[in-house]
Amino acid sequence: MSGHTVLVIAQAQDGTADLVVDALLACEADVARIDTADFPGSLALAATPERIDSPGWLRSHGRRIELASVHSVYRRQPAHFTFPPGMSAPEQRFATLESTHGLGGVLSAQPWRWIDHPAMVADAGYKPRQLRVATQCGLNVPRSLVTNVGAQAREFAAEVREGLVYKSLSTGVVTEQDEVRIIYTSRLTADDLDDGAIGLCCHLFQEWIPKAFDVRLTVVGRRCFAVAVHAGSPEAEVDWRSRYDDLRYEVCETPDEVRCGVMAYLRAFGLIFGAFDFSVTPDGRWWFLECNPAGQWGWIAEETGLPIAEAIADELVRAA
Amino acid sequence: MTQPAPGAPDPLMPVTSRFPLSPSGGRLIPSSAVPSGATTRPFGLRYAVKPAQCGKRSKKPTNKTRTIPTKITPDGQGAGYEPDTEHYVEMDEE
Repeated sequence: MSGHTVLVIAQAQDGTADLVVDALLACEADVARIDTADFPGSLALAATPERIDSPGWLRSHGRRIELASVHSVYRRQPAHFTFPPGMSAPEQRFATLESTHGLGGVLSAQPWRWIDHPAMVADAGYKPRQLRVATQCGLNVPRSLVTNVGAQAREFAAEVREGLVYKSLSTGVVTEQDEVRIIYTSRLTADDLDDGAIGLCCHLFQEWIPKAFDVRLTVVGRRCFAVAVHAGSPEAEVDWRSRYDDLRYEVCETPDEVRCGVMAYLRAFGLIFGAFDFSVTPDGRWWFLECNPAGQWGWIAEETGLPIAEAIADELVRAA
Repeated sequence: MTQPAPGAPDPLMPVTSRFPLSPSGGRLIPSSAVPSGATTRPFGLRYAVKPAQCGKRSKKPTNKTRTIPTKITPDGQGAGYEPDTEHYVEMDEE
């Protein structure tokens, strides 16, 4: 690979991506940053996919980026394209699909080092798949049930001794009545499951792990950044995302067996980065809850001083 | 039947969902729709709540931690973006 430029694909105001850019500039990397929200207004593409040695270029705010000059990509939550407000909905849909296949197809076809490749990130987003792969990689995984059958949910509830939780299978975010609402992990009773609405779509139920604390384990390449998340309220104990003000963070060590497991997990999905969530029981056992292949990490780096941005930058500038 | 290798491209996930958006997307479409009712509202939505507000002591993860864009341009200046007016998710997930 002859490229030397690190391409950052992120929203213009993404502060977490800024941390990576700062770390890249500190090691004198050549950085180019684009925001897909600029497409097609101020982000242009001209590509010739069949020409392997000269695949084309991007132009962003006057800077031309030769695709052949790119060595690696940091891709973090790219934005939707921005089309003229006068476009009708069918026109926008057409333009979105064409641009997705065009810009997305060109970029994802390049032989760059990605953190991480969009196809891998997409595949790793399915929670049932995460649970299966985590089990295959030797991690402890709570008993889980995905179902739209209420009777199965009630049977599962009777089997799990410590109780159960409901958690969403995807983002768990909905807008209604002009408000954003989030589905946090919620503890359930058997009575809660006597509800025909379970049959209306898929639901994920999981055994409740009686934990001492949670761990956010951010993995970059072979480097593990583990942080114990201590909950200061009953709500935060069930889902720490629901009460950030009640949390205390403490850097901790990653047990060897967990380190081996998460490395195998990332290899299985073809990922370099993973934001893992574990619950740790009083006997020191780590239980895999999920891994977000594009999870947030900027805030926890800031809280703890862990050099996560620098680790990502190291991976991006690493020779192929 | 041969099992697909973990990490292999997923036939259930169309390419249009893979790029440029993350699997779950980063932007929410505002909606004024109201909950439909007990017989048609999915069980999981019973547990949808307003996100907690950011506190003083503990920072909340967000995509939008800066108000001034820091996009790199040839002259080293910000590109002069207008602030986003869309709803963005401020949570740990994408």
